[in-house]
Amino acid sequence: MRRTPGTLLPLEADILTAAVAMQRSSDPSFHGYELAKQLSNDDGRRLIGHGTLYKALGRLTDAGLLASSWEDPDVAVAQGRPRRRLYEVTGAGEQALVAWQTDRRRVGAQSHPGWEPT
Amino acid sequence: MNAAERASVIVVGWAAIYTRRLPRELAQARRDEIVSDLWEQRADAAGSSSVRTALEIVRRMLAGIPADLVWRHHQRRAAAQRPQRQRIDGRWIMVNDRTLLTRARMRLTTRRCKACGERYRRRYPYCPVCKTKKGDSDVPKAEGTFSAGAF
Repeated sequence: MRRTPGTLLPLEADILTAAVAMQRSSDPSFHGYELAKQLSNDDGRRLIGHGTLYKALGRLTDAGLLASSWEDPDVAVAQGRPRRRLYEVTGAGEQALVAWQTDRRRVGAQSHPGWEPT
Repeated sequence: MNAAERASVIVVGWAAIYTRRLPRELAQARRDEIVSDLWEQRADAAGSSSVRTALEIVRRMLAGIPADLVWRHHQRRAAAQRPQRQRIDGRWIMVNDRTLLTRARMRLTTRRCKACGERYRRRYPYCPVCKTKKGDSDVPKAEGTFSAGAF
């Protein structure tokens, strides 16, 4: 899908929405599979494909809407698992999500008067 | 090795294929992220059917293949445009693939005049700067002396 500059693709908006929800409920950082699981729980679909997920995360990171860092290897070794790449939503990411939600409400109100998306 | 672990090996193998000939750090980061994701999924599904987990892992891989290929294409293109340090004519300069291509095309389609050192198109019979005929470095051709027969 071709992007209009300064806008979010639906998947990117879903990722930011899930990420913000996770940040509010628990740890501020999350890893890829955790996000895939959250997206699956949110919309009842199956887990998102690896390529689709990590390509979208890369785009959001490049755009400065997410920040990523690799976990300390000692923590991963201590827990007996591969190290995780941890993501956090940046201030720009939260702003972009708010702008996207506002825009969606405006479009929804124009096309369906009296209808307000939740 | 159970079914889920075998499926993970397939996914890691696919990641090794589509990250081939990409910048090393980028490729390694993607592979590490996939390995971590697979481990987390298997850990999350611990206690449930290994075959079902394996099928889900393979399904996720198949669903992501188009995005993997697009991602690879973008990364290859970005890497090609990223300048690299190359030694050209005794000097180190930053070039990208397009620069090298242009340079190669110029080398193939032009020659350097032995008399004045300027480059000119190979199809020209003489150097347009000093009028020296090609292969003749000692005797400059006087201006306006070409006859029709010379062509």
